[in-house]
Amino acid sequence: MSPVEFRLLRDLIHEHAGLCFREDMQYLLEHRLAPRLRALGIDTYVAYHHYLRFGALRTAELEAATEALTTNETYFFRDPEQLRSFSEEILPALAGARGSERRLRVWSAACSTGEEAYTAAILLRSSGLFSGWDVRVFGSDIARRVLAVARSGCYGHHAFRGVGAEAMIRWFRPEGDRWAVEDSIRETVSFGHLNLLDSAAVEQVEPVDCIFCRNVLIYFDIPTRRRVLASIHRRLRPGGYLLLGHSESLLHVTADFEMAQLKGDLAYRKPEARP
Amino acid sequence: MTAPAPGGAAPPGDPGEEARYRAARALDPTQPSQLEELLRHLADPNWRVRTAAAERIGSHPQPAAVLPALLEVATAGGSPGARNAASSALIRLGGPAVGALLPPLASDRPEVRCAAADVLGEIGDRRAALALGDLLADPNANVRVCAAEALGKVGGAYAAEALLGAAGAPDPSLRVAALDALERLGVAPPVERLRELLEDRTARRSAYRLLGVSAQPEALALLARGIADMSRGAREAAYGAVARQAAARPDDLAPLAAGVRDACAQAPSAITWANEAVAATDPLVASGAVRVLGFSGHVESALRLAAAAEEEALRPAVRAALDALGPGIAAVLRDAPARLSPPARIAVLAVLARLGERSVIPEIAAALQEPSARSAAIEALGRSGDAAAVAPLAPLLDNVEPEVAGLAAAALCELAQAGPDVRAAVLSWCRPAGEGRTPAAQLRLLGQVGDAVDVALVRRSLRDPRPATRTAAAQAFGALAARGVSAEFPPEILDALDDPQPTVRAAAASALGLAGAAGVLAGRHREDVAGALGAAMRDEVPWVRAAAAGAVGACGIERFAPDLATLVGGAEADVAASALQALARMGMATLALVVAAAAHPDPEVAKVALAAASALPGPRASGALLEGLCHARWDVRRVAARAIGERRDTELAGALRDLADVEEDPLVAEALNESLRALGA
Repeated sequence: MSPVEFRLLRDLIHEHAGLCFREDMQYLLEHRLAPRLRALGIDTYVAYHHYLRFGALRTAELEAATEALTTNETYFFRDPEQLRSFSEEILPALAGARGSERRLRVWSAACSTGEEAYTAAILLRSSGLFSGWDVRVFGSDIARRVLAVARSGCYGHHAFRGVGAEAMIRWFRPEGDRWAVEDSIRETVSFGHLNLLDSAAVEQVEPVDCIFCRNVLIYFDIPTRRRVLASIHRRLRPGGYLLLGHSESLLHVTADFEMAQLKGDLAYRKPEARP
Repeated sequence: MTAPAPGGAAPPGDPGEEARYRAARALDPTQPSQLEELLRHLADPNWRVRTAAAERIGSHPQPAAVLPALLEVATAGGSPGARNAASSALIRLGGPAVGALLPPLASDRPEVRCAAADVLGEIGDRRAALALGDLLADPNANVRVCAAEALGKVGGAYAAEALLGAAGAPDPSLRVAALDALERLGVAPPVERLRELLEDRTARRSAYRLLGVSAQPEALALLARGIADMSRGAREAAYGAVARQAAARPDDLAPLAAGVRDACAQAPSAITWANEAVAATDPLVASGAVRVLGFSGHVESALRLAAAAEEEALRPAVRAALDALGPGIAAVLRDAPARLSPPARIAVLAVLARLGERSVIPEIAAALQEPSARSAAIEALGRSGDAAAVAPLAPLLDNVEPEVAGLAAAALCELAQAGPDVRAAVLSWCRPAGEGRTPAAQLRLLGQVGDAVDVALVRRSLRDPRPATRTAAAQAFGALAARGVSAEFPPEILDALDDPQPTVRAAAASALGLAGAAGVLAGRHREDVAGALGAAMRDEVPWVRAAAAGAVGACGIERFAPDLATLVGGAEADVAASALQALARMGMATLALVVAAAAHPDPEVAKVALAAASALPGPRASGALLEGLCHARWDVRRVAARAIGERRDTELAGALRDLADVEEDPLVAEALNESLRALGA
């Protein structure tokens, strides 16, 4: 992929989906779109750009390209430090704050193949803080194909490289040469297709108490980040938490959230509307 | 208006924070009393409140009204939070603030000069370059460094020239700041100068970084020395530079590889250091370390490289490094793939397969069942060059998912290029035995690798009841014709132009274009095709008209020039671009048409027009090209710049030079400079 081809495709993808690829992310664009070119029998990225602009199936292809670019490899219990903070600090705080309602909602806003949403559900259950509560986890993603995997709840062994033996036995059961999420966990998790840039669609998500939005904002430019954050800010209940990826912050993006200094990590919180 | 009081530490919990934040966001900076309040908020102990105030002030429609107060806060002795918030507001004001920020560069207070330079750098407006250049000679060392950093952000020819001068300054801080700014601009001093700088302990790291952007071949051997540097910082700079050079000139890395091997031979620790650096958090450093291990010839590092393939961003570098290490890695990696995730495993197995390790083909084939690794496994089998890869790929041609079938066709096509035996294996698997349905991907593959004997199947498939099959058959006919493997002209391809499905009609039109360009059409066939394409140019579906117009151009049917000209003036951009390209291909794009199309709102049409203008003489075409150079889109400006170079129009050299000085887009600037060289200017 030449620099010109990179820029053409980068601009087009940005116009379509708000995704933003820095110069040093050219490899990602090239690596992830290459199968699309091969599948279509297109030889060059310039020709692919033309196809995306004018091809008979350009709308579907733009969706396919977006899906290819936003599908990330993930696994259960990824980023254990942050999850420890979630379990040991955020969940007790939420258990206290929402104790009168006994209702909790968690949203995995770019759930990919679902490991993050199920991990959140497992941590909620194993905390022991929400017995008898109305607890739901919602996972959403822009890519439809990954949602099919998420809904199946069935994974190859490499999805479990962050899972200890004890947790493996407790929360998963073997199914052929794969492992399935325990039914009682699956029952608390649902998945849906959602483009975070579609603010009207985001408005349909019921108000939540905690949002996992890890390694998503890195794909957006600053104005798009602001749009996305404004949307999810509206879905977060006052006092609710926003968890970002380790390389992400809200600095220079928005001040709508306050910083919540946890012992092991940094999270953001929607301020209570205090006078 | 007075500067706000310095902010103090935020009280624990800060119960009024949210209220102050909301209040700040609601203030109107155009109201003097509210502006006063916002300026006070810049010194609020809470960052959210300061940010809200900076955003509100930075959105003021008349920057002149707020500049003096903001500058005062930005340069006063208040809290860092207040100063940063004021700078942030100034940056938000952007271009309109530039004029007002120039006088403070001459302030008698160095902190004011620094603050103004910082903000001008962040705004990035080249009108500030001259003034910032003057500050490189400021009596205050901090100001000189601020100016160099700002010039690195502003960019442009003047900034680069000034920084190259500052890179030789006696002040080491300025020297390093100038070198780092040059790296940011991608401008390297001559290699001989960088060689001298490598002897300068303070500048060595920056010099290695700049070797990564140098276009001189001598930079590569010099850069290799850095991987054995005793300073970790210098080594990491060298790794990053290796990654940049590997990306910039992938086919010309022999001197770098030789230099790395020499360096490793002289300093065995270099291998250990590179192995450690593969885990660096900076992806450029990690990628460069991976490439260094590949060049080192140290096959034992293959295990570390295989593990690095877990990181998607490193996979291209890992593949290249393992390739460079050669067949010796097979013994080292014998058991490694089993421990890797499916995508990483396939990346490693693909290299082994390419290196002739046939035993891995079944393992790659097994990964076809793993959704996360399927496309990589198909690609790996295609690149293996091994006939044993045909059997697992061939059944995928009939996969229900078009993407999988398409990938398999591409992989089998690549395999067929590996040699006559493999090609024979591909054809033997992919030619249908009976009269049954032929999958679309299989037809596409036969178009790419088939022979004259396959035309019969294409003809039959053009009559298939399934639109996807008819479309693929038309594409296959076009591919076979373009490859010159058959002079046969099946009447079914003309019938396809009347197909009820527009995808089939478009594919048939494109195929006829390919046949025409390959010289397959002659005599009566040519007339029949011309008539059919003429009708297709009036098709109800725009992209069929676009395909037909392209085919008319490829076949050189000049009598349709008026019809093409009509299409250029139509509403659909794809049709207009295709029709104009067809006219240009036949040398029949008129000046009036080109000039009008150059102003088309769709950039693709404008680009075709500007490219066509390169072949047209006269001042009107020159004018269109000059206007193209000022287009809002970088890709249009770039095409205009290249067209002027191709046109050899020396009268435009002056304009090109002026624009090259102010052009901010690097790709356009590169095209402008190339054209200037072509014009001998």
